[in-house]
Amino acid sequence: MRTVLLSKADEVYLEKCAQEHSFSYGIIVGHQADLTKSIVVHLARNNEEDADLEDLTDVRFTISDVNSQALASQWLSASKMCPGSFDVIGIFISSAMPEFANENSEEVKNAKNLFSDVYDLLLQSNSSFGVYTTDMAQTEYVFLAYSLADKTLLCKNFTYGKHCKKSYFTANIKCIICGGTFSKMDYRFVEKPFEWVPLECNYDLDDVIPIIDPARRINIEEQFQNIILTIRKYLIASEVFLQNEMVEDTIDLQTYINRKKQSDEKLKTSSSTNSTASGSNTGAVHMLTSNEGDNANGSGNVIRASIVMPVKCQLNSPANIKVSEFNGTLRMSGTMFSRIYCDSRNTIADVKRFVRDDVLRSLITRIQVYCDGLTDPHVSNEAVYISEPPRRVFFSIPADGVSPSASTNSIQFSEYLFRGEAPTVAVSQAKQVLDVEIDPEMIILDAEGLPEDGNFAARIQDTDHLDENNRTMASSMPKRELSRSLYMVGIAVALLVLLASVALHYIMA
Amino acid sequence: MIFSTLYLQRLERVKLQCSGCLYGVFYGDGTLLLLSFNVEASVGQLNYEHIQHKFPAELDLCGFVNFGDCSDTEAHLNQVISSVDITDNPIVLQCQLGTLVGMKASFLVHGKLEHVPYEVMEAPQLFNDFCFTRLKCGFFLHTLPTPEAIAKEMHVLRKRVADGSLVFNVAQTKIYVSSNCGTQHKGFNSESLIEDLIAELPTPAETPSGNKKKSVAAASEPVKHTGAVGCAYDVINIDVLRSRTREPAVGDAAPHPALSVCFTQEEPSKVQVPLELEAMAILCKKTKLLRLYDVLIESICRSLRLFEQCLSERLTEQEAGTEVKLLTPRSYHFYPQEFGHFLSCAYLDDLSDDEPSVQEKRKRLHRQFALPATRPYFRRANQCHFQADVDAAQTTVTWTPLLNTHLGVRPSGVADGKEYLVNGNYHYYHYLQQQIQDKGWGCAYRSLQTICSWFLLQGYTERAIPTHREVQEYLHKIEDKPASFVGSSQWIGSTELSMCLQGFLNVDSKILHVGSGAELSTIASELAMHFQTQGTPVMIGGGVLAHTIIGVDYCVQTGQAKFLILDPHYTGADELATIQIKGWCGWKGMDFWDKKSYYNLCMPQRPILY
Repeated sequence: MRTVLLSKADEVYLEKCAQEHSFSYGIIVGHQADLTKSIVVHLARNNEEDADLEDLTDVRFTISDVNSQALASQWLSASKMCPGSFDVIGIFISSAMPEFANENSEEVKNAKNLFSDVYDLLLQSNSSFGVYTTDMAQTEYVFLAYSLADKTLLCKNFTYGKHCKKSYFTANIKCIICGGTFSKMDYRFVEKPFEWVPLECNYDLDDVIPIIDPARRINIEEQFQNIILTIRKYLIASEVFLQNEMVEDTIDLQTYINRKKQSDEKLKTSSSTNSTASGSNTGAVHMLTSNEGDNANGSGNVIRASIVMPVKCQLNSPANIKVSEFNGTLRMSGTMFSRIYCDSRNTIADVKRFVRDDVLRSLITRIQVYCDGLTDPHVSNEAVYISEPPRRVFFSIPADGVSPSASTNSIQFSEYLFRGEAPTVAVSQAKQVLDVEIDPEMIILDAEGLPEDGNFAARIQDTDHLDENNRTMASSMPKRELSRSLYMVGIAVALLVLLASVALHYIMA
Repeated sequence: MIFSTLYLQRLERVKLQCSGCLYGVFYGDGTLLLLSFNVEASVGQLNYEHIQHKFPAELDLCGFVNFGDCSDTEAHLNQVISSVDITDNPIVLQCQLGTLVGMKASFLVHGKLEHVPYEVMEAPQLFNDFCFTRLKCGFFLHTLPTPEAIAKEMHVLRKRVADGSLVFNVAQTKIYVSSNCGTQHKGFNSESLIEDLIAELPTPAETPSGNKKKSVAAASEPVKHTGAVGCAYDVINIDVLRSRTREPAVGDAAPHPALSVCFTQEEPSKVQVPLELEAMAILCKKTKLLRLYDVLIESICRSLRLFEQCLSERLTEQEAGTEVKLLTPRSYHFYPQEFGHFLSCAYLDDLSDDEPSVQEKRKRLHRQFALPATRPYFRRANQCHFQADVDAAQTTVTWTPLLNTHLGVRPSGVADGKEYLVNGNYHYYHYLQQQIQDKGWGCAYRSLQTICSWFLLQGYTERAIPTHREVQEYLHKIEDKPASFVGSSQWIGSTELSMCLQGFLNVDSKILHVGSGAELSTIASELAMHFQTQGTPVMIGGGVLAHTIIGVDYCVQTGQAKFLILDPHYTGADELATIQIKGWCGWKGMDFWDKKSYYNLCMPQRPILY
């Protein structure tokens, strides 16, 4: 049976929701620590309808009144903002009334319909960008119902997947006969704050992709869809190194950290005895220094992940690719920065999957945000057209009521800002989707730099420059000949003048 | 300085006055192993320029060879010497024609020749001490279809290959080789050698295996699981990856810029050429692992140059034609037995081996390597089959018979005899294979299949092995047999076999009649001659039985002879150990033959083909 781990802060938050609004609902952002344990990372009340409700405060709300549209859109936005190791894992309800957290109440049955509705909406909105993670979509969700009057919490596991014999699934995974089922689920409040292991990675995009359809104007959205599909395929086939090393999938993160510490210490002692590190163990020394650097910066022991991808023209059958002609290219450049938080019980295989998921999530999100803002999905008729999707910025989520900067185990979510957009955009988004107040000053803007606007111009100039060089080199030969013939002409003229003057001299004489 | 025996044998075969280039590998503390040479034409561009990229990486130009008193030595010498990059003291070798007697080797030190002694390395030691790497990767070339543009784009591509972001993965293992961390594995340190890496390669026993592999392991001679068919070297297979993660910006440096995308219209239109390449390198097993990364990068660059050459040649050839069209290049590796090393060529897809321009190139290659133009070496069908690919194919549905079953059989025991064996690879075909119930009548068909497999594996043909039905249909078609013959269980003999070989493969055969089994000893010398000059398997039919002769052990003085027989009447499973122990493939004396029956031998003759 699955168990959900909650922190004290989560209980306080549920209480607060019930007190302030008498009936609230929202999403649960969580993390799958292992097969049986899910950790609740963050609860966010849905405040979509707050504005309309000002004068209706005493209206009694039930689950059947929940706006599934609002919930689905919050769900979607939140999953774009949380790191790849986290996901929206379910829905919570918090009410001042009793009976809400009773397993047999009518309300819980309605919750099934709510899940079903939200799921349909999610599928619809997701279909435009298709794939969302590198992995299979999740089929199990958490339902939490809190009653302030009873001070009780009800926790249920909701499954869309294979459960009834007549299972008939829609395009994705929902059974349309029974709509899914609730099953038992444990929960536990944990006193100690959760410890998170941060990992960082950046993904460098430096690819030129030919655009093979010459007949039509270039459709940006279509091209971006193709990019996402291709990168997803390669990401799935990729390998993730930790601290530049291959780590086996089967061990868990804690084992890896312990092992790393031991070997680092060994190296430290050996390098202190032998201060001049020989070139042969530069790799290890490099790792050590990078760790020390992190410590000095105070950012703790961040594990650096790197992604290596197969160098192949085609992942599967390489035999059937042919030469093709194209008259347009799409050049991607720049990096995407990832920062994820893992539980020390995660296996390395999971950690690697989270890194890949985060890269893909970040790519899809920024492209989606960019495409949503397009008025015309086609490239204008100019020879060069530059798309600049928004860049990723990070902000800390206040946890346990402690100021986020002081807490060592604070976690960061992210938002996307266009060039010139003020950080306050992220502040309001965080309030709306995640129900957190953040200080615009605390938003970390420099994880990714602004796209180099000079980048492409420089590159174009560069190639032009090169061509010019070639041209000058090619033309230098005739030039030299030209100057030589000029000399000749000059000398000839001088000679002529001389002869003429000599002749003139004699004639005059 | 060390010569391989194979190399000396090749030198010995040069019978014309000429000069050429030497290729060798440096290893250990500056030891040079000479492995190959080519022959230079007396006029025009040096052949060296043409073929240098065909060698595996690390096998480099290192000197000059002169056969006899060649007149253009002086002219070539300086040119070749100035192209030698890997050493300041190139080798100059002076050979007599057709013999190794009087061969002189010297180093060229500051313009003066210094005589050096040399050692000889026997072939088994060579195969044991050296190995090859074979990596696969793919790039896209975006270029205008002109030789200049291709040269420029290829240069950019090579720079990208060498920028340190590539990571190599030893296939089927978790061993990775990167530019910043070297080779990562628990057991390795900075002193580890290539042979330590080879020890880590998975053996077939570890991988889930069928019966066939077990029997291979059980055979008397250890079979290399990491090599290639007909080649005794270890081959390390390598996959290529690229690190997509940049080092994070340090200190106050600006962070890396975020993603941006630039759409550009290309005028005139360009082409995208997929470059799926396979690159090889040679390494001494005592080489340090630290060197591996650089060697692998060099091997990719060499393959890219080979592709570039292939694409540019195609464009310049086409200039007279109307439409310029680029084709996909592909790597092919060859392992001529005489060479003792691999040689790689790039051929274009959709351009067949029989295209005149392609034939012309092959002919030139034969000349450059002093190979006879009477047999194929570099046709696509000659390409080397690597064990890794064979294993991959075996896991899918395709079934392949056992290869070269005579390797490892007990010796014949002929006193003072000399063995004359089939020259090249063949597959062992016998009764009941491919679910065909041919027990009691199919032996000659099977013998024919074995002979056809020899022609297939030697690159003479790409035609699939003929089935019983195809043989019967053909014999009916040429009106040798009535219609009722098709689909029947009737025997065929040596003459039918020769007709089929003619029909299917365009191969002529010599038919030899022997009055009785007792007289077979008289043709031993003739068979020896056949194996020396033709080297093809021989079908022998007599009485009710047909066999394949794949070798003869013959003593000229005593006249004693034994025959290496491949028996198609075997009905068991394809297990090498059983086949060898029970004598289905083995040496047979005179008592093997029926004294009273007469025998017909079908001796296929190699067609002249290159």
